[in-house]
Amino acid sequence: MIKLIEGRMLVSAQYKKGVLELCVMALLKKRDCYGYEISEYLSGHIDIADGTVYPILRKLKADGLLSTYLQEESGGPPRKYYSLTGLGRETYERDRREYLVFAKAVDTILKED
Amino acid sequence: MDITEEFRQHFDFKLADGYSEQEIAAKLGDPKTIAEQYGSSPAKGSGGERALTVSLLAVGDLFFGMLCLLLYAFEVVIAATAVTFGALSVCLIGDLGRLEFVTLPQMPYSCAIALGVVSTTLCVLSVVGAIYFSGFLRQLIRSYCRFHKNALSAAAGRGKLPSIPAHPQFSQKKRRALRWTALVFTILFAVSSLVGYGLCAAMAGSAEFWHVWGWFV
Repeated sequence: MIKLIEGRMLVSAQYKKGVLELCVMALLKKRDCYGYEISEYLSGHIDIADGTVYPILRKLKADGLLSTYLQEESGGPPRKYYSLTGLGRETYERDRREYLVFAKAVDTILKED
Repeated sequence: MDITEEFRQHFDFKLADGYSEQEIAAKLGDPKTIAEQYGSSPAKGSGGERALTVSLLAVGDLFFGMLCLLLYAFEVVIAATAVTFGALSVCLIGDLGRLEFVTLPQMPYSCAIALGVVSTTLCVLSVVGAIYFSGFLRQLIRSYCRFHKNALSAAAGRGKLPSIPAHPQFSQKKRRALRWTALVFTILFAVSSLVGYGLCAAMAGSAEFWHVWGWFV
């Protein structure tokens, strides 16, 4: 029984991760942000652990969807800003469309219940 | 700046907001889970694999380059056809056979106009063909370049861009205009050829009017 629940949690964590990537890109499409900002923004909307965002940012960067640059802030260490690359923008638009179609279909199916 | 630095800053921000370290750590989530999530970054391709990809791509580029040359030559042929038919219609309709340096086959001026119209329709059709073919070529090259880039990215373990379709990408308006022009001028070509032939045959009094006017003597 516990195993089953763990399995379900894992699936849920995995599909959440894909959607979270999309959310991160959606935020970065509007403006460049530093890691903490993104973490705060997402945990403000979705119930996730604060630490979830950083691996996602790193993966998106490794995939070439994000780029980073350092920016000096008054009274503090330089912050690492994330910015969407051209590839990221393209990927975001495509994944966004796919997701919206998918979510709509799921919504329809679940509401038929 | 690496992973630990990012988390250190997270702690700094949270501490500044008045959270205790225990609270921050709890909210951050299970360290093991987070560590596992870092593990899923794509592995870099091995050096040998990359070298193979690069050499295969070089061969592919060579063949694609030759194909492009061939296709560009064909584009030139279509364009030359268009220019030729255009010049022919100007000569026929403008009755330029009068001029010393233009040699046109013998025929009554009414026939020359009819055949000039046929030539004009062929000119327009060749122009449409040339535009469509250049669109096709352009897209083919873009598509290949994207494939080239993606193959290199895949070999280097980077992300891929979506592939580009190889068929011509015209705007809706342009595509409609091209299709409409092609259709109308195909019909015009058919009609004007029939009319032209009929007129020539009637004027010469023979179905093989070219013999009557001694074109191929």
